[in-house]
Amino acid sequence: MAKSRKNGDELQRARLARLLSDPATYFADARRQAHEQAKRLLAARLDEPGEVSPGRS
Amino acid sequence: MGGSKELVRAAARPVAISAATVAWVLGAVVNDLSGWSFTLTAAAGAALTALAVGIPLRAEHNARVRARTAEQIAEDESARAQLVLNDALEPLTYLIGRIADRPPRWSFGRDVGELQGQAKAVVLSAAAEVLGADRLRACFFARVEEKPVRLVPSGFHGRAEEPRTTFVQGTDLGDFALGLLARREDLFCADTEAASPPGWDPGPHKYRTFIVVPVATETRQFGILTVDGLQIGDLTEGDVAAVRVLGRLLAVALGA
Repeated sequence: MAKSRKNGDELQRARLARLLSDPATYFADARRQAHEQAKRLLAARLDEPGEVSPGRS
Repeated sequence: MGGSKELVRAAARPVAISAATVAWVLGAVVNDLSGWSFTLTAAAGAALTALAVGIPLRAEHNARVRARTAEQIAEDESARAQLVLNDALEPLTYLIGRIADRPPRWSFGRDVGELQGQAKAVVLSAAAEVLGADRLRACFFARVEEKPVRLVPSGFHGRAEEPRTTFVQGTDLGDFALGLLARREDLFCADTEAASPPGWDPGPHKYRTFIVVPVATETRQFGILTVDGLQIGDLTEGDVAAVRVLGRLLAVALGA
C-alpha cells in the first residue's frame, strides 16, 4: 500500500502563517526536525545496506 | 552482537602481540641465544610486532574518523535539502500559486500587493535561515526607475543590522550591481578583503562574505537579492544555486 501524506492546502496555509508570524522559530524547529529525520534515514540506510535502485546508485 | 564482535577484536590485538613476542622469545631460546643477543632479539621482536599491529590499527582509527565525518556530512546535506525543499520552497510555491490564482481584476488591488509582500518576507527569511551558517542576513534591493536608476534597500531578514547601501547608476558600485542585474548574473564573494567589487567601500560593513543574485524574469528587472555572513566560510559556492532559485521565485511573485 502506497503511503499518503496529509499535505493539502489547509496545511500549507497553516505553515505559511507560522512562517510569516515568526520565521526564526519556524526555521529553528524545521532545522531540528530535518536533522532528526536525516539522522533516522541515514541510520536505517547504514543498518540495511540493501540494493539501491539503479536510478539512485 | 556488534558488542561481542568488538570485544573479540579488542582481545585479539594484545593476544596477537603477546603471541608474536613469545614466538620471537621461543625462537631465541631454541637457538641458545643469551645475554645481549637474546635481549636484542626479544626487544626487536616486540617492537616489530607492535609496529605490524599498530600500523593497521592506526589506519583503522583513521578510517573510522573519516566514516564518522562522512556520516555527519551526509546528515547535514540531507537535512539541508529537506529544509530548502520542504520548509522554504514548498510554502513559497504555495504562496505564488495563491498569487497566480487571483482573478485579473484583482491584479492591482491590495490583496496581491499583500501576498507579494508575504512572498518577499518568505524569500528573505528562507535565504537567511536555510543555508546552514548562523547569523546570516538576507536583503532585497528594489530597482527604482528614476534618473539615475537606483537599487534601494527594501526589506531584510537575519542579523539586526539594516542595510544602508543604495546602488546608484553612474557610480562604480552602482553600475556594477545594475550590470549584474541586467546580465542576470550572480556573484559569490568568498572574502571581501581578498577580492571585492569595483567601488566597494568596506565602511561600517562587518560582513566578510556575500552572494548577490538577480531578482528578474526574462523581460523584467525587480532588483537584487543579497545574502551576507560575518565569517569567511559562512557562505560557499554551493549556496549560490539555492539563493538563485529564491531570487527567481521572488521575481515570479513580484511579476504576477
